[in-house]
Amino acid sequence: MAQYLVKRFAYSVLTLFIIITITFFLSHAIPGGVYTTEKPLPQSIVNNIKAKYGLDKPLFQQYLIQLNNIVHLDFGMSMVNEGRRVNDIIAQHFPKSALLGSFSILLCLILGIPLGILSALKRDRWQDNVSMIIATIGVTVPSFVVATLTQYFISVRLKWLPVMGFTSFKHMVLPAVALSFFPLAFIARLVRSNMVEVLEQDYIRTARAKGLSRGVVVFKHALKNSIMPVITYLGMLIATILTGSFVIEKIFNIPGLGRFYVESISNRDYTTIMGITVFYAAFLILMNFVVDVVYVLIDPRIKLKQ
Amino acid sequence: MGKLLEIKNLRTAFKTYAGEVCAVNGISFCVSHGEAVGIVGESGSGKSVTMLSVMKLLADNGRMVDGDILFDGVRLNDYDDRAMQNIRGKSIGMIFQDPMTSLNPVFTVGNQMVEAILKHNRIPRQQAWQKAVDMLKLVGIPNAEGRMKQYPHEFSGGMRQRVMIAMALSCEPKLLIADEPTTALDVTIQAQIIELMKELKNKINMAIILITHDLGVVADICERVIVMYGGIIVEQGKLDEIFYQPLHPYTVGLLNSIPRLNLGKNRLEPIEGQPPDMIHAPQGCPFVARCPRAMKICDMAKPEYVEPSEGHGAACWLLLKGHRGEM
Repeated sequence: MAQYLVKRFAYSVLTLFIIITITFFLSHAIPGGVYTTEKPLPQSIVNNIKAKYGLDKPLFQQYLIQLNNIVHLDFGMSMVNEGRRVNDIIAQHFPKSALLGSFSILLCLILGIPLGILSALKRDRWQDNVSMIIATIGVTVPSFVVATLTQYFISVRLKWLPVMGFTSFKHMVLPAVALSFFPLAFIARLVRSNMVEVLEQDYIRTARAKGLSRGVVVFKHALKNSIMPVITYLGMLIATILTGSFVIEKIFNIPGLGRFYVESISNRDYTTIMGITVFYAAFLILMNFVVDVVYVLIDPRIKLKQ
Repeated sequence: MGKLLEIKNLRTAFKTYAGEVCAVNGISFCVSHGEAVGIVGESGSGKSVTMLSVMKLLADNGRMVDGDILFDGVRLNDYDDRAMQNIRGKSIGMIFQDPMTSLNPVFTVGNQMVEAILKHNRIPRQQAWQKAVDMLKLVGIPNAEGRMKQYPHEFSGGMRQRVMIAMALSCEPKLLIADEPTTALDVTIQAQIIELMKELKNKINMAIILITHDLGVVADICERVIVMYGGIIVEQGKLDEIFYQPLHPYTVGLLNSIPRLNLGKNRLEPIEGQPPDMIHAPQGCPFVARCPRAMKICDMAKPEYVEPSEGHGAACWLLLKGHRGEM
């Protein structure tokens, strides 16, 4: 076990190192820089900016400096957001994205899994058709369409919920719904297809032959076997959703991390790009590890070995 | 001995792309308390469907269209799924063909055994656990306490089938339905499982319905044999009667096809042809196309089931026309 963890950790560090390298050279390969504005700045100012952020040094030296910073868990100063450290930006805005994200993931699970089960149990009947139509809509309609439509009808016309902002639970409902629309539908479809398959397995027949009730058969024997792909998807989903969605945060004016990520790229805010990328990647790696552990807990046939 | 299970004119049909297809087409038989009955026949002859009809565990597209099922004096036709839950596992235990896939891979063997016991008995968990351990010991699983905490994938095929048997017997059913319990096992394990079933049958005095296509297994354990073909019972009788005085040409063919070492034959003797296509079910006797003694009438009408002697009968025109021949 300890050996496995060490190995796993070493691989994670290697992965992060590769990600850092690629991110660094790719972001510097984009034409322009922090100093690029609509009106060209005088050369002397550009030189000053370059000197201030160390952009005048050779690229490889900059790479080493940034690598060194990251090893010390310091992503440096943001080049665009005056006077703010990248660490602070993440610390301040990630919790907001994470809060919204957790809420929508909860929504996905609470609604998606039962919807999938219902479809599987009522296969080819109207309940199945209705929920699969909902699921298909959910998978195909982009989140910003859902966001603007719900914003218009529920907030503007019906005035049930606030249009935007992020100060109370009420503010969280619409963005969470918009954010969970696709994954909810996806989870419902995953659960359905797996459940349909599992319900035809021999051990389900055995369970029924023992006289177990339908509920026990479905929720104990079938569900645990059909939940695996959902776990796989969930690992990815948590990493993406918790780190924030640019579109949804923009539409609902939520001060989350997603906005900073996209804006940092268009602003060539190299340190912020690097900081959020590394944070996101580390988060994803961690989630993958959690998924693997959960696998082992659910299916005894899987072992933590490579 | 009183009758434990009585099936009268059972017909079970499945919805298919070609409409409803009858897999079991009007069969009747009885099983007495403590009796071991073998149902033999090739794949698709309706053996399993018959027993799944009794348990009401047919697939979603299947349903019982006609007939009565009486179990221990009650008519199971009237039972809904909830009522059947108290029959399944408690009064009727069932074990299946493939022990490799018949246990849930994500729960321990103990968990799966205890849940069956707790479902039918109002006893504390501790006691159910002990009962499960005792059952595992009874079916000859060494280190039963430790094995309870293991998962099915840690058991061999033969051991899993023993677990299945232990599970099916844990609530002392009056009837055990064994649906090809040895088909998926290798020969030595087969013999062990059959030996075990024989032993347990004598120990707890339950009736057994053994579905198989292995006549050797039937000869080993059963007192009575039912031969099915194309969804009907073509012949039934006591073990000796079926083996030594078969009435139906299909039974004769089955017996001839058993490989024998002592007769010096090198080739197996098959029954030529294919079983009938149930989607386009034959109008007359289902065996007519393969029957070496087929007559004109066999093609046109179904023969009635008749019993020339008490408890031994067949559905064949040869009997009805009065000439038994020298089969």
